[in-house]
Amino acid sequence: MQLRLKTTAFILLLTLTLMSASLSEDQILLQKSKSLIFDNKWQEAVISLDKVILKYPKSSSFTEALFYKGKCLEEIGDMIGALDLYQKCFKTDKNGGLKEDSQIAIIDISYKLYSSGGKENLKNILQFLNSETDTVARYYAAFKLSYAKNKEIAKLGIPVLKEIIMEEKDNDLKNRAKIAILRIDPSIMKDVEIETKSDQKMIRFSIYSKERKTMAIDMTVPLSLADLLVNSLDEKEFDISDININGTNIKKTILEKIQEAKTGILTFETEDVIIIIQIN
Amino acid sequence: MFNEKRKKLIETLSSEQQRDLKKENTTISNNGDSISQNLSGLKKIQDYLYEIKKDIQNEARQINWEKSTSEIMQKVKIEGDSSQSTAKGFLNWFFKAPYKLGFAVVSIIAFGFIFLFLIERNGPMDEQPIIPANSVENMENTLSKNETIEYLRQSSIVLSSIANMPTNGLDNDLLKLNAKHARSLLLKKKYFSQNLNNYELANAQSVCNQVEYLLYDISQIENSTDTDSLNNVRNLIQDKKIMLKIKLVQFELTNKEV
Repeated sequence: MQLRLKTTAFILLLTLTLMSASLSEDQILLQKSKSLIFDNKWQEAVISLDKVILKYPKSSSFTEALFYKGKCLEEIGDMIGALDLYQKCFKTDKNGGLKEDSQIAIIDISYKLYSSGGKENLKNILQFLNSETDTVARYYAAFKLSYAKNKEIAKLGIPVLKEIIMEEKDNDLKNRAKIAILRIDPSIMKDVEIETKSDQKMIRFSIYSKERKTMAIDMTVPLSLADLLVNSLDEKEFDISDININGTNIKKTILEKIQEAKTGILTFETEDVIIIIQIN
Repeated sequence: MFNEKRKKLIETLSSEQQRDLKKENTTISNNGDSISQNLSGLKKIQDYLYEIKKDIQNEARQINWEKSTSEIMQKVKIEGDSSQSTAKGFLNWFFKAPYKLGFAVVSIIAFGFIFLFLIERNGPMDEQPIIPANSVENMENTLSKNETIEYLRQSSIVLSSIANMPTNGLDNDLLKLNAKHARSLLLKKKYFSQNLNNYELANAQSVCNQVEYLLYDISQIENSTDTDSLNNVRNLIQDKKIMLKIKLVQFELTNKEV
């Protein structure tokens, strides 16, 4: 038994020694930096990554080191330093694997700086919003702009959000685009549905509280977002997941009706609430 | 003149009655009775009719038509006055009691508002979406939660595939496929990562970020010669107990009770 343990330990030690021997110094430093990042040791990781950046500017590890240092500075809170590193990474890695990640990081940090008063950073986002070649960056810029408090700025992303609804196959991404439009201005949603040739059915979801004698919830959303709306009620506003009538779960019934997508009105009444679902 | 016309009318009526009786008598004759019997019967009827005629004429004479007309007209006038006084009374009540009028107007307005409220509440559905900003945020959080669960599920498949790859004879196609999946997952995380600060997803944030770093590395490995990077990823998966952490967060996100 003891002999077997000793043998295993020897083989493991030999493997690690051989691995270390095969790695160049820049790679060893990069791997060490990644381990530090994994443990949220940002400052130590920056020191290790700086060694790669300063000593090995022509190595294959250089661009990765720039990117990971950007991540560390972001975590530390040095947004301007991080933005500078991501931009350098984007310029040196035009066709590499970190290109998209650098673009998205530039948009993220530019938006943070813009929303905290650095108006000049908006141009970084608009640069990607208008890009014809970088689809991922274009989409991400439109999503990011939808959060802008200045609705005129937020509306700049609407053409791209429409493009996502029309072109994308990923339903989550489509739903995100619809939510982004609702965030910017719900009144333009109907026109967007018509323009993008989406299913134009709407659902009105109302819950009347008998105790409070008021409408606890009264919302109208595109039918495609209805299941998301019903599920989101569980989280914050009005939990309907445990309401049963004659042994039938109301939430389940509502979700089934949403799937059927038939126009009409559906009502449920319990001791406390009246739920009205209207699909039009 | 009026009385004369009435008398003539009574006479005409009497003669018509006589004609009807004669007709009746003819019918009786046809049934085979004797003529004499018929004649005596006829005479009796005629006498009887004369008596009736006299009685009617006497009754007609006794009626004071002028007085009756005036009485009838008087009665008509009284009924008219009575209906007029009801309308007048209502108008008096309406105009001479302003506080009552005010009450009535307020009542009408109040009922109007209640009616409009009910119409508004149960009225036709708006074509435009109506949704408060916090509900949009809740929907986004729900979508992010679903995406986080899916991200962790798919990531665990990629990480498991990398961890279980044979050390010798690495499959280039499999490495490329994993790199492709890793890039797709990295992109998905960008969209929901801003919602990871949400209290419900806070516990998932750390694991999602660690998985992200591993996926960065995997997305760079497309060649079987890059065994060093591959081994580094494997070591991190094992040392940091990534698979266990993923399972725990998945369980937490999918079970409300935890």
